[in-house]
Amino acid sequence: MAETVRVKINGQQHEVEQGTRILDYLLEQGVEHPHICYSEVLGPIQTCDTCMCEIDGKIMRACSTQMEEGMNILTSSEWAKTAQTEAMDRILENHLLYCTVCDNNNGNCRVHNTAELLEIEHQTRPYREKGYEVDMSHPFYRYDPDQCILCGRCVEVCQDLQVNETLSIDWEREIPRVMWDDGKSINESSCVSCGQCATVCPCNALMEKSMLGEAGLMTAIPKDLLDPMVDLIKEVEPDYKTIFALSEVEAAARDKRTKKTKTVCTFCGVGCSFEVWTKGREVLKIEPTENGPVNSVSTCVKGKFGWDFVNSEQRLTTPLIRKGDAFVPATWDEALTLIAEKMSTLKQTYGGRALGFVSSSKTTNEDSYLMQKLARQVFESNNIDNCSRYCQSPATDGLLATVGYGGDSGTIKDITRAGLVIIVGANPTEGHPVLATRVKRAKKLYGQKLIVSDLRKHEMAERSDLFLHPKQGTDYVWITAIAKYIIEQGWHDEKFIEKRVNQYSEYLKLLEKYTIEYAEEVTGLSKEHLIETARMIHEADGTCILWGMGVTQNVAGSHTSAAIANLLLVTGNFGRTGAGAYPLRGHNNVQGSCDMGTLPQWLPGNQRLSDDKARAKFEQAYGVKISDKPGLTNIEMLEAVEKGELKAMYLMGEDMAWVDSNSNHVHDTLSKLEFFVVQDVFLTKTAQFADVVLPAAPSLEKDGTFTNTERRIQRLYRALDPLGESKPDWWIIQQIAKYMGVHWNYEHPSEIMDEIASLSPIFEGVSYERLKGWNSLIWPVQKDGTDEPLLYTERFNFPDGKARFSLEAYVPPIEFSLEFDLTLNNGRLLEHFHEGNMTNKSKGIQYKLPEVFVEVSPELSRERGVKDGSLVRLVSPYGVIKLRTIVTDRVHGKELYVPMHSVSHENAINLLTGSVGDVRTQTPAYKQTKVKMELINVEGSTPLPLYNPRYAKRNPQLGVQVERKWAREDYEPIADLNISVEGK
Amino acid sequence: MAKPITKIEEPVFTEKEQQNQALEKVLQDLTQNTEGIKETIKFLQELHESGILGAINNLVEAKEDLAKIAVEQMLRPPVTNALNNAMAAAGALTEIDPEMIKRIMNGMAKGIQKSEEELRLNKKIGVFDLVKLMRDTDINRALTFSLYLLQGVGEGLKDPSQENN
Repeated sequence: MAETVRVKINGQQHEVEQGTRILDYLLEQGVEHPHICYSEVLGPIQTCDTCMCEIDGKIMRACSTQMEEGMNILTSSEWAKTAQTEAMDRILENHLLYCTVCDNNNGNCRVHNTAELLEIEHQTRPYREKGYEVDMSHPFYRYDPDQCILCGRCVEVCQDLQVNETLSIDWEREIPRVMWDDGKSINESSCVSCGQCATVCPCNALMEKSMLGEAGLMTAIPKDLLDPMVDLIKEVEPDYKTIFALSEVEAAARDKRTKKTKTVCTFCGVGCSFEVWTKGREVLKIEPTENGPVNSVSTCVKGKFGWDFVNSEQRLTTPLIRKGDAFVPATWDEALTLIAEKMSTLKQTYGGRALGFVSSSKTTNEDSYLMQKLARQVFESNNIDNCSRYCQSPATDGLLATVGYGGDSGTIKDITRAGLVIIVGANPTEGHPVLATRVKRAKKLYGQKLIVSDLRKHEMAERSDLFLHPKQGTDYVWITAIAKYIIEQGWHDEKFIEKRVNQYSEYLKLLEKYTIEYAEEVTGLSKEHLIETARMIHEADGTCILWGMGVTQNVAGSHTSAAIANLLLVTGNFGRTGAGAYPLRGHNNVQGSCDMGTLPQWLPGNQRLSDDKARAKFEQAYGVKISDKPGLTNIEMLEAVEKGELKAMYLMGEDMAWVDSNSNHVHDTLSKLEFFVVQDVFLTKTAQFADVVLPAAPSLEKDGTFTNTERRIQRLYRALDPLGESKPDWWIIQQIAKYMGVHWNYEHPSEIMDEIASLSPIFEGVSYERLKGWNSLIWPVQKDGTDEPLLYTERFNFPDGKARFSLEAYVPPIEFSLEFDLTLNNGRLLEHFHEGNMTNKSKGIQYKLPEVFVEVSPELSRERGVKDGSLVRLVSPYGVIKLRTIVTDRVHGKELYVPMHSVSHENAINLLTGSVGDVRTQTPAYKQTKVKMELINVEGSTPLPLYNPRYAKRNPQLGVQVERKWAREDYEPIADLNISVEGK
Repeated sequence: MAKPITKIEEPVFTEKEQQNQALEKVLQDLTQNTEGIKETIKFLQELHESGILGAINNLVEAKEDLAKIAVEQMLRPPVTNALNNAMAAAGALTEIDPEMIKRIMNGMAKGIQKSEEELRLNKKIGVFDLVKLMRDTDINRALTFSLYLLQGVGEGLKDPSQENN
């Protein structure tokens, strides 16, 4: 706890914590003090100079000056005011105030608001253009140098928050400007389109293109009329108060038209929240704010710009019924009547076992909960699963077996606080972009250590202190060998193990086999690297291990997940901040859909189906008997279809036909269903097999909650009305129940959440009221609303409160016959989501990344004579795809990489993957695929456009480097003290 | 065997149905606002008969061209001067206490009334009358106001560049 000091502010005594920034304190006290470049997240950038105060007779910045005993601070003395006005005057030399016809005039323009607060009436330095062209090259945002005030907020976020390291300000030019890389156009630069620069720009210099000419009442005025109008304003020279008054009237009017709705992103498990600004059905922009508990001002390209799909012409807008070789539009009544008829007949004839239900990791908790309720109550079937079966079930299994909760041990804050982060088989800069930014930032600014284990040398691997490249599917071995080595060195946390973990002696026995030498042999990693990894864990103040599908999508992903937990238990890395196990949940609601009991052996609230008490509670609430026999997984459902045991399926929000492995086989199986209902936003490949297709509303069109990878529950609000006859999923499921004769009568998802809370101890204290606006809760949540961001501080989730070492052994990867000589790795790329059904509707995203390709290593390209753009055929025992090559050292030797974002029969990855799955959870071993490569055409055009950021080189530096501004000959200091601030 | 299909049959009469739906919504709005609608129709008819509606329509159709002309006109120096004058005048007016204006206006009204009455008497005023009148408190107040007003105007007219002379 810092010392309290006494300071005088404008003559009044205050007691404040020593070291508090003056500006932070003023704002906290509700004092309106001018400032443009500063924010709590970005820290003192010190470029705008508008926050000057008179402090002990000196002019100093409120943003960078910290409170000291006896300070005398005057915030608006004549001297301070003069300094502030001078600063604003310099800003207005760079920025023309045509607010009323500016698209950024939305009440939150920092330049406008600060000039108004400072009561600026005229400027002494006339505005002048900088002599640079507006950069319109990028599909999603533009830069207007003539409006840029050179505050460097964009540079700060790009360098030190997003840490993509593209932007800088060239302070040495005659008139400085923001630069992309070393002077490239935005489109050709290393910019990954995260949009954070546009988000934090305090004026209209950087703007989302979707706002231009759309946001204002009069901003659509064509340029040949707008220019003379702006000239008129200049000629007439009204004082700025008049301009501000006018622009405020305009801003107030447009506020009536622009709707701002808080939502939660639907493109990955990080759980970014932000406002979506809409005008009618048009999305004007995504506006993240510092209120977002996970992401603050950060987003990735998908969250910021990827929403075109909502208004796509391909949206389903009416129920469809299969008649002959076509779908015929139907009314809801017709569709629901048909579903109820067919399903109840099948239920009566064969029982609930003949029906299967598949929920989605993309729909809300409430949608998922109702899907399992429909299965268990209305159809008396435990055959309910969700698409986390394809990704994260093994991670959950490994954690349930060792520490007791199937979720991340802490929050992203814990990850940033760790001394060491180890990423195994995950590519967070592309799969979980905003989470990755926090690791990159911790590394760049605070010296966090990073180890990456992966087949592919992706961005995190490039940035790592140690990059491990084990043989495919062998992570279990090196992880376990390191645990053994650590114990041998006496680096383990003996007290922790003794007090808090069971099965230690059995675990020691298991370890015997996993020597460093054995690990070297199996994984191909060097002894030095293995020992170095162990040493880094030993020396780190807290280790977090993050993993993804590189671990889980193997024949024993659940064992490897448990081995990760074992290693963390050995080193005491649970129950403290900056430590723990973090399976990175892939979709927005992977965590939630599992928490809601859309699993064959789990009830809502992570209560086991085998738990008699829990089952009795649900039996009472639902008024039916619930079998204690687990139902079928997705994979088993398809097997049961093949056997003729499963007759009908109701599937929501999942393109199983492309997402399950071995697509050819899945397509075949789906066509054998007697009755198939698919509920989705688009007519997906899966929906094409359906008898009835129900049009669902995407996240922007409904209320509900998502649970992110941190176990954080957040509310989304309806921003748009459902398109056409599409409906929120919970509404549709409720209708099916109703047509089956069961009346639930929910009027709003909040009532569903109340029911979930009443039946699940870990959600006991969850309510929509507590989740209002930006508020969130991290489960388990007690009745009084106390949540638990960091798990296991007192006890592990077992009856005796102790963790258990998992005793599962290593299972080697699947063997292929020798002709399949290349390892086929597969996964995501930043720009697209999942198989691509949503993001491939975005023009800008398609422009940046139009098609999938196969990455080939330089070695292999030489050996096989392929080059960028060559057309090749990849053949596995299960199928064939055809696509173009990219030669890159991201992949190594005989390893290939194919992104999964394809819904084409020509090149969808799962045409190649096989049917073998994880030994415990059946999650397909997508990553254990081998192929042979046949060259079709050597010459061809590259599938990755040259303006994709992957070709460009980053330009790292720390922040905006204001010292270079101060060093300019023409710079006249305003402050008496110009000192750069370290470690914001 | 359910083959995958992508063909969606276009529903028959969709357009007609959509039209009917839209019409129904409009009818609903109409019946809920009958009085206002009737008045509006009458008003529009009046405008139409007098030819105003047509003129407005044409003007709206040409709105961008007109705006361009208007702005161009406004950019001419006499107009920008006028705008500057208007704004300066408006600015000056805002500095005057409204209470004072009220009093002056009252005084003016009374004065006009009084002088009219006096004029009607067709009386001649001699030098003595003038001196006598100056002692009258009402007249004295008006004179004081006028003299100081002149002084203020004089100050306002001073050339700032010669301020120190």
